[in-house]
Amino acid sequence: MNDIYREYLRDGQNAGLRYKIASPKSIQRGIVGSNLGSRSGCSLEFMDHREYIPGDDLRRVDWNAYARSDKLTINLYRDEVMPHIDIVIDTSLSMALGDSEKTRATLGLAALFAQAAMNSNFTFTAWGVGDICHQIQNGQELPAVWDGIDFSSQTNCQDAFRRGLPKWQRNGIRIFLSDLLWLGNPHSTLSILSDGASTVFVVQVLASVDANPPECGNIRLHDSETGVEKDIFIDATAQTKYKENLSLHQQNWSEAARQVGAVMTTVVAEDIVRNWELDELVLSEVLDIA
Amino acid sequence: MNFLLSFPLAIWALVAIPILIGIYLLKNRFRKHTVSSLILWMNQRQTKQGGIIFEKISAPLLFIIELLTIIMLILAATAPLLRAMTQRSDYIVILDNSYSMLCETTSTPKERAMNDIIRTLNESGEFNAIFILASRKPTILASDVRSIERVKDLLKGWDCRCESSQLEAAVSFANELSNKARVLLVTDHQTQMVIPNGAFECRAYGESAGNVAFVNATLSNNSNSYRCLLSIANLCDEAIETNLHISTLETGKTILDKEIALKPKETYRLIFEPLAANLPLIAKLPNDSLAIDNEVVLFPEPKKKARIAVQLKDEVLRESVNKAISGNSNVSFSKTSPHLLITDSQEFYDVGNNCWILRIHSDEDAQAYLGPFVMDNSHPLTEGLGLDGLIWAGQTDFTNSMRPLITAGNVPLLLVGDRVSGVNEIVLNLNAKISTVTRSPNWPIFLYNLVNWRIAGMPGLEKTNYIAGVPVRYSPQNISGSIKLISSQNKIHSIPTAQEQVVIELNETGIHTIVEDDVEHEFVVNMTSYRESDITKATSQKWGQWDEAKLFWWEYRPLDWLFLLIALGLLVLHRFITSRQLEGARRI
Repeated sequence: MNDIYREYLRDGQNAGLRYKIASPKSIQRGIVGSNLGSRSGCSLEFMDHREYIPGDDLRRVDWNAYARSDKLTINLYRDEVMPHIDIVIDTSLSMALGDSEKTRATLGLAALFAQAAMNSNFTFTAWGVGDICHQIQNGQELPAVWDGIDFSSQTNCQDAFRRGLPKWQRNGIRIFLSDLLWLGNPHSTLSILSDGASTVFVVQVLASVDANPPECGNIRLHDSETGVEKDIFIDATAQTKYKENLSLHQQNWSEAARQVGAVMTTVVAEDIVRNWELDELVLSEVLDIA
Repeated sequence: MNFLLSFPLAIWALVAIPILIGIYLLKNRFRKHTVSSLILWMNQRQTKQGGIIFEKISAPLLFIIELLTIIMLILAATAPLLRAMTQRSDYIVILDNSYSMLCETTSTPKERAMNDIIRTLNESGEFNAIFILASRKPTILASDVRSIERVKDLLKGWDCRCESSQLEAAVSFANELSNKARVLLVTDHQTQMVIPNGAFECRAYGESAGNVAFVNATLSNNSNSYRCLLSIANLCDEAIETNLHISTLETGKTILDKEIALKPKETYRLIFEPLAANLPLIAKLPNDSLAIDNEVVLFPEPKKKARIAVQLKDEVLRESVNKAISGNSNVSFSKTSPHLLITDSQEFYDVGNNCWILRIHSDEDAQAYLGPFVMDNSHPLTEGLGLDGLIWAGQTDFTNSMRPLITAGNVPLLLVGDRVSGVNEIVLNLNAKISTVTRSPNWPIFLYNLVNWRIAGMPGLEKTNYIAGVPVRYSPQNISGSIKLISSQNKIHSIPTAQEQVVIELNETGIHTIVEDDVEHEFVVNMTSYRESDITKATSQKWGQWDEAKLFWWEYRPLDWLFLLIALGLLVLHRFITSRQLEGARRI
């Protein structure tokens, strides 16, 4: 594997020391595990008290506290979640876009999630999606020793998932890192990804040149994945149209994510590799500060 | 009249012209740009290969248009101003929407007010007005009104069909909207508000008059008999004789025709049982100054009865349940398709989709509790219950996944299930033999609440006779469907039924119909309000005075819009030319 890739993984792993995986918001009915979520829920692990409000479930009243204080108090308990994470990395050619930090950001984020999983006492497995979805060599070890990652595939993730379903951990958390830039039905991709998972996080990694259209003028566009070229005159309308197309594409993915219960976040590679401040992911409750 | 530039420094923007020339010289080159995918560039206009020829041909005309556009934009940026005289005044007009405004002497207060509003606005020259309708809640009838034609048109929407008008709330609302605007309140009586001089004027257009009116009307349905109550008030300062005529609405058959003598300010109450019991009635008084309160239509109130089946093995409990329920006229005992089944059996009953179950657990090993009892007071079943001093015996290790409403410590005593597809289950953990619950007033209250809750869950109208402005409540058959409301003026509205109860507010009097699944539910809206029918206190007067100093002033009118308009026209022309040439280029 490329030495630069290994360096990217190390950078991400170092950055991941600051984070841990946030507990998922939604848990499938009947599925519980041994790790504690941050949300109040139904486990036996006590978290906090608060005053009773009419309409609260009377089964949660703390009768001992009532006997002592003569005030009705409600017990809040922690949720329980399954402690395994599958990190799925899109290894198509477009993820290694020249003159961008997309590869660094993608590998760095994967390593960061792996380190954050370790910080949360979760186990993890790293997967690469090339022509098929396959387990990355040493993908259950430290990110610095992952091997066999190659951004050379011309197949999109939807087709790769269809060619063979990977053996992801049931009831675990799945994190999907991709630019999501292919034509297809987002719902069918995310349905495969979310099948049997307790929570799915979709992180769209865009390069700055993906997020923003080029400046006005005559441009010869070159598709990094297929090699197809297209001449186009860029003006404000074309720029707006591009932004609208990107926004619509993201909305389709976001809507599909919402339908399957996944959380989707978009990051711009150049922004995050600058200092690995992942406010978007913390705000989206994918990551927590360790 | 003169002309000046607000920002003459904007002339410096003329340096954009050589920049434009530079851009024209440099733009005809293709730069290579690698992207992740071309999917986001679909549907974009593709230029002709080797577009240099195309650019050279189109440059002169486009260049001139762009040059002129820049000049126009620069002129607009200098913000040229034209000095001119203006006499625009801003108004907020509050219209009293109560029905006393329809009282007719020589003309109605509404007509007099309309004429005066139009005259005032006409005299003020250029104006900009907001019209607020003061009903139960203030609502904006129209804003940014600048012509008399528009005023006349929108005043048609001032229907004066409300049984009360909250003038104070409307004035507060106007003050929120007011930005040095003149506030004009038009009504027919003196208000209790303090009217400050300056920006506020209150004008009353009423005339004191006598009026005989219906001030209350019901057609109740109790104990299987219909009873009609009519209250007729003599709102005059002198005694009067009038005629009350009651007939059936559909056939016009006279039910009662009676002469009534009324002393000044006397309210006459007539209670009778109509022979044509289940038919709608219409009661009329002779015409007087206010016509709207001289007629009421009454529909028989719907009698929603809950069929209750009692299957209790425990004799003491059965007796106490029967005793508590039998006094309720909204209940009938029936074992066939009951709406509510009360049982102490723990067996499964296939009672159908429409039946709720109260299941009483009378365990022999029950333990009696004196408290502390905890009760969820937000639920309709616990309304009015007081458990202090009560002995309640229940099974100690009672476990159930349902939601508890009453507990003794952590022992659940009353639980309710989730209401799924119209069925509900209520569980009572109660051993009546060693409890005082069934012998306390709480027992009939609880069963009354239970019956009422069950009846409220039945589809249909809550009642059929409403006063204008009072919310109409309707429980739909299908929660995720829609109903049709056909108003008395035959206007049809479709209302989605997303909740268990639909609430509609109506000011329009007359007979309205709700249609759901081809089933029609009729109800009537009447105008009966003692306060609004009393015209004796109506007056014509004016309070407050606007400040005249703000009527005329000189102002500089901006001209930048003119240059922007020209620039816009040039840009449209530019767009037209480029799109035509691009189409031509694509064909090539």
